[in-house]
Amino acid sequence: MKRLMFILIAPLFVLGCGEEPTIERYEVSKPVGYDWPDTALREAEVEVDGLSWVWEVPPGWIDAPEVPDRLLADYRFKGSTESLPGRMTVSKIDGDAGGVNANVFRWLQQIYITNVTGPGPKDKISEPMNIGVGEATFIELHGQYQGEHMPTRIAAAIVQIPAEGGGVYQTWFFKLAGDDATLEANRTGMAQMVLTFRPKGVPRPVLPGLETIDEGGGEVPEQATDES
Amino acid sequence: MKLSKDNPLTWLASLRLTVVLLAMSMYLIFVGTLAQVELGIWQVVEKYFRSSFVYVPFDVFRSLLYPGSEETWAYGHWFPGGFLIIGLLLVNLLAAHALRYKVTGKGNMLWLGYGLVLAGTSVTAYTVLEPKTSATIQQDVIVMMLIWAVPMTLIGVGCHYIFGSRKAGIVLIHAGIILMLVGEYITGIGATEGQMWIHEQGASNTIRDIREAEIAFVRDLGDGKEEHIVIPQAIIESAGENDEPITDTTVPVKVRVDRWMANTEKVSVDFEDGDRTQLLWTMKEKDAATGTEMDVDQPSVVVTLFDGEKRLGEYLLSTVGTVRPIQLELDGQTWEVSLRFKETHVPYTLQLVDFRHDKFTGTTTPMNYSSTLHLDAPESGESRDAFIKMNQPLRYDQKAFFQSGFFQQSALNRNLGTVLQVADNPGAWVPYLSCVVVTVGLCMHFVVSLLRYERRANASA
Repeated sequence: MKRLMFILIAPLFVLGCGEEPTIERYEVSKPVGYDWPDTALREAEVEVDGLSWVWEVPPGWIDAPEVPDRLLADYRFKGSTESLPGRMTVSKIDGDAGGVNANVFRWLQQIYITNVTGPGPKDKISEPMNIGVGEATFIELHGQYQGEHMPTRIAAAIVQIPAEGGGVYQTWFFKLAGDDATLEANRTGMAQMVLTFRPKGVPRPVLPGLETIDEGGGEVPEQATDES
Repeated sequence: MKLSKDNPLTWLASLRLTVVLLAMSMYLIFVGTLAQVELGIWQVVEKYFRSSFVYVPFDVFRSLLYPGSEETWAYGHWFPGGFLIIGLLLVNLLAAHALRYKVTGKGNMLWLGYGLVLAGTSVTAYTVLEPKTSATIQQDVIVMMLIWAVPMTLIGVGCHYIFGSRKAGIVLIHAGIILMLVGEYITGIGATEGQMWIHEQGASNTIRDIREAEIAFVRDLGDGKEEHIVIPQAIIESAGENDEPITDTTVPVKVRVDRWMANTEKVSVDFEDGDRTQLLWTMKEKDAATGTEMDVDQPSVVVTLFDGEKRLGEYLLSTVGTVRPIQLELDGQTWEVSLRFKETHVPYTLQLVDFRHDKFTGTTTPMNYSSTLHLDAPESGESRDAFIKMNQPLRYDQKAFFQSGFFQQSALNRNLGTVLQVADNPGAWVPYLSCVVVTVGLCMHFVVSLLRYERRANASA
């Protein structure tokens, strides 16, 4: 009888067994990309302290579903992979906001470069450039790889608007984050946004190669960047 | 049929065996519950319930008898695992039916009974096997009840004609229990779980099983396609233990596993050529994750790759996200080689339109997590929006996509995207169905018993 019991129970052990693992080769389709709306070059407007400011938003850039309180604008655009879209944010702080270096260190931490004494050999910080409304400093920073969903690069512009009695009235931050390929593909878009930043009503700056809302086309020349 | 006491079928069908097995299952659940003090739920499920035998360390009782004691207890005992007990219960129940439950129907009524049971079973099978109906049933309990009301009535009436009014209810109750036992086998063997990470305005068709790793060789084929060659964790571990390189012709290089580390943490050692963006990582081995915290095992492996007899180099591959995949140039083709969590690719894409992490006003206490998604299935031409929040999963392709969490850019404390838990359980419908069958059986048995009692009361009055 015991033998019969064993025969009855034995198949149950088989049920608990799994497949032998094997090396596999397969082909897969990449994911269908996010359905980016086909937006045209447009002008954005934001009101700060009773004054309206405008800038031009490059084609294909969309507004984020929600803009965090600390930001004035938040745009998204197609990245080089579906794992990491590009992001452009605009924010403002009264005064000089600690100056350029303090913000460079802050951004370096955001891309996981910590405990450093200054920008690295690949990083670029331009000389301040007059863009009409104030002086813009263009910055490009390289960070550490933290996985496919995390940005490794930041391209930014710090625009300091002078106060009437001297000093800095406001500091505006235009910050683009993504991976290498995304940043390379959208650098001119960011430059266009910064170069067209002005109070509403002030005529659009005439700059060679700047795209226009009416006609489209044209290219923005390489922005001035210096090795720091 | 009257069987002797010595007949094995009599022994297998005995109620004593049922009671012993139920007592054993209670003990197993008890020690399994205690084991969760030290182990995560998945480890316990695999070790105690989805096994034929389990070694129960006496240490599991420490937290109950001497809470706070740090001293580990030695020894333990072997005990039948969940699969073995369930299997024996199944045999016990089937043997009891073979012995004690006889067909009492006769003639046309018997055939009518068979026909009704067959019709009810067919309709029920269709509702659980047809993907859209199955998804609808699992989404809404009321709809499930309404859809199953007709087939269950047919089965109930059919059993009545086959087994007679006294036994029909009990037969249905047993059928429901058998279904539940079989369902656990289906779940134990066939169910898979994984995670899908999607960045806001990003898209994914990849599900990752964070309990198993694989070495992957990936190359771009153009036209939006990729080739993947994957070496499962079991083969990597075996190659490491046996000191035998992996020389499968499917893999573009020979892989020698120098060191397999089941769970690791990163230690940065240096910058590559003084470039601080290119950190050289080393990995420190650490104890396996117990599953009681958020941690999961993050395996790493040191491999030496050979192109034929030519040594290409020694590489550290790791599931730790900071270690970049390596690039290999072989015969004019670029391969990306990485150690990653086991991936499954689905023939459709989920795009994340918006992720929300709502908090109670003035607090950091989460009120709700939700994801607005767009589903794009080129093969079926389906393209629609979907909304997932806690306890409201998306059911598609026989899978359930649950809102599980989110990932952040830690330096900014900013949410970047959503993490979905993807459960693929071919037996997901079984517990629902078995409960309904048992309920119908209990109702029938109750009504029949009530009527019989009433008749007796009237007769004696």
